[in-house]
Amino acid sequence: MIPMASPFSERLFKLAHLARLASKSLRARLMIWNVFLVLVTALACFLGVREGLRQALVGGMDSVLTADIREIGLDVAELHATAADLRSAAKGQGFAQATQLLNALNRKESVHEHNGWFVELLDADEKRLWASDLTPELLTVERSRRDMAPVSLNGRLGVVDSPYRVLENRQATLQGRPLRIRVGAPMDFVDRDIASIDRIAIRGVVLLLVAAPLLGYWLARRAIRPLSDIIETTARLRPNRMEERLAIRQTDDELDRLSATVNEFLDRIAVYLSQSNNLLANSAHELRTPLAAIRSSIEVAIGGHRTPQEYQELLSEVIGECASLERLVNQLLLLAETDSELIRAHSEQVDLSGLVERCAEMFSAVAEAQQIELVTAVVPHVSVMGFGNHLRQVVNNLLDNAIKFTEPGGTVRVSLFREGSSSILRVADTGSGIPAADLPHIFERFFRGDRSRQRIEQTTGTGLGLSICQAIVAAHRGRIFVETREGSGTTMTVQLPGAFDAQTPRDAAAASERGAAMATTRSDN
Amino acid sequence: MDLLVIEDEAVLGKALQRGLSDCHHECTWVRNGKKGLDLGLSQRFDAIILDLLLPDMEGIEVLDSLRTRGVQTPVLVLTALGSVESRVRGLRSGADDYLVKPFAFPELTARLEALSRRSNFRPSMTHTVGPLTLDMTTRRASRGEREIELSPTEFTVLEYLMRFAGQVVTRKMLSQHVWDDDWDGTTNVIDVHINRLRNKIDRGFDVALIQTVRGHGYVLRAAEPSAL
Repeated sequence: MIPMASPFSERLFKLAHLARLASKSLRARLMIWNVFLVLVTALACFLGVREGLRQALVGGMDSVLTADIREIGLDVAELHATAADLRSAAKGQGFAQATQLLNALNRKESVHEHNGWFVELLDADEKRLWASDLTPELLTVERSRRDMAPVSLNGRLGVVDSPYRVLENRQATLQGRPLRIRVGAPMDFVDRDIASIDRIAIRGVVLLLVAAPLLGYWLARRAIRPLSDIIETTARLRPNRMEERLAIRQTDDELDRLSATVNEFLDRIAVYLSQSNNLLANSAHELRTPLAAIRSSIEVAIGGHRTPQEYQELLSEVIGECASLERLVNQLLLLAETDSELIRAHSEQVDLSGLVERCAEMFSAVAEAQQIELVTAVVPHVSVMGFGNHLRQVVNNLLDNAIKFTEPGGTVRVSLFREGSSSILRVADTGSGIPAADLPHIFERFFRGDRSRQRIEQTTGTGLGLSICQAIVAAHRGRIFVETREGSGTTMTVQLPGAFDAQTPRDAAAASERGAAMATTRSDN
Repeated sequence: MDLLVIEDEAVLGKALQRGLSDCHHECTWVRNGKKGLDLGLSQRFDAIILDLLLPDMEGIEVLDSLRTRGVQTPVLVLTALGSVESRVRGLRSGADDYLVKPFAFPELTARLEALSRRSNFRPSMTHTVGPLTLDMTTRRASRGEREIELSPTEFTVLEYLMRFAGQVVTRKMLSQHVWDDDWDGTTNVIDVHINRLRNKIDRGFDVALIQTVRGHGYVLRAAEPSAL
């Protein structure tokens, strides 16, 4: 598979593999994001604090320097001496007032709160008239230095270079002649303070580098644990072992809702699977009966010498049993077909009114033969979107049942009308009604109520009729209801969504004519 | 009729061959698509019965090949696939008719005849079977001298029976033709309609024209067949 040239490349490969795995794991991604965000936040905070501190330190210094330069400016303004006087005073031989000022300035230098403070007096040509002892030689000279604006410059005192904060007053005068006063102080204490902050920060970052992944790992694990549980539990599920459900932690968060949704889905699947299994088992069982009959008829037929008439009888029985096999298989296929996907794919406008009338017409002869009055009240041009063949099965099944379970002299009433945005089909009989014990089961597959055995001896249904009706109606997103009163009759109501009037202007006249005639008619010919 | 049957299932194939021969049709039976296609291309048949699930190729392919090479022989497709989609597919592919397995043999022969008639169909204004006359324009029926009142449904049923006079018409064929419905319930809806019709055309006569064929359906005959 993968060539393992050396232990090193092997290790490298393993590492790459782990990284790939990590990038695929939600937990690893959560952890990495956590570390990243913590570090970025910490760095931003630190940089902010550092800059704020620096500005505060420099600002404090600037205000001290500004006060100093104003004070010196006032002192100089009061001085009655020339530049030459100052020069000689600097050499220790000037006149008293100048010497006094310089002494005062020297004293100020020695006691100033900023260690290394200096003051320098310059003439208009930037020539030094006098400077205090600690005055550095400024290394970077900015010509554009503005009046009274503090700047940071590098200065050299003796052999030591250090950063200075310098402020200049260019407006001062000495006996009417321009004079520049320059004060400044070394800034290295600012750098020292910042450096100590940096040291603290580095320690913090190291701590964070260790703590953030651990914290991230813990957080991610905590967040992911329910997900891992869900994965583990669902991985254990099998079609034949569907009892297990996801744990609900009662936190009502997204994961709980996910678990609840998955659980509901599992419930539905479990019901569906058990129904399918039952259907399969029941179908096989139901197929056995006609198969057995066919087999024995044929065995009897080939077992001995029979007259042609006997052969015909036996073979007719076989055909009859084949018909019930066929019916069962067709109904099972129909059940399989009633998934809404298929119905949606082949959905078309179905003239429900015409369909119901045709079905009623087909059954009218049966009703008449059994002395049952079949009454139709069909509002014309009620249409729905759906699959006509299947909807016809619903109507036929309901009519068939109603007629089967109604005594001679009774009435079966079929009505179709619109109600809001729905089409309502109602088949009501005056039959014996459905026993309360049977009622919950009538839509179950292969369920046959006791009553069907009592009256219908010659023909027993497949027991699929009503469940097919229900499946078809459900596939059309409709509903089917049953109301029954034992002894006085049953009403089956089918509600289908999306009723609309299929009437077009072309046949409007014919429709109203037919509608008047159709309102309530006995449909026996 | 000269028929070609392409059906791989041995029992069904044999039954088809025997049954069709009994109905006085020439019947050639092959068990795979390739042979069927060769025969269909080289010989002239009145109709082809084609199974859709063949061992070597799909029935649809056979049909496509026949049609693309200009063979216009009517094709009746047999399929075990009863689902809506396969039905739609079968008819779209150029089959003239199709029948879902299992089917009633009379239905097969009726459909074959309908297929062969389709090409040279001559609509007649009156149907006559023995003493029974049906006028398609006035929609009147009479048996001998006696005028018979029929409801529209009864008229349609009788017209259908007369069209296939002497042949068995199954309940399924009737329900499909008259009500466009393939109701397959336990109640014999069709039987009741036939009984009503019988009451009108056979009551009071010695000879019953509409006869029940047990396990199959009905047949309309002018006279009792001498054999039975």
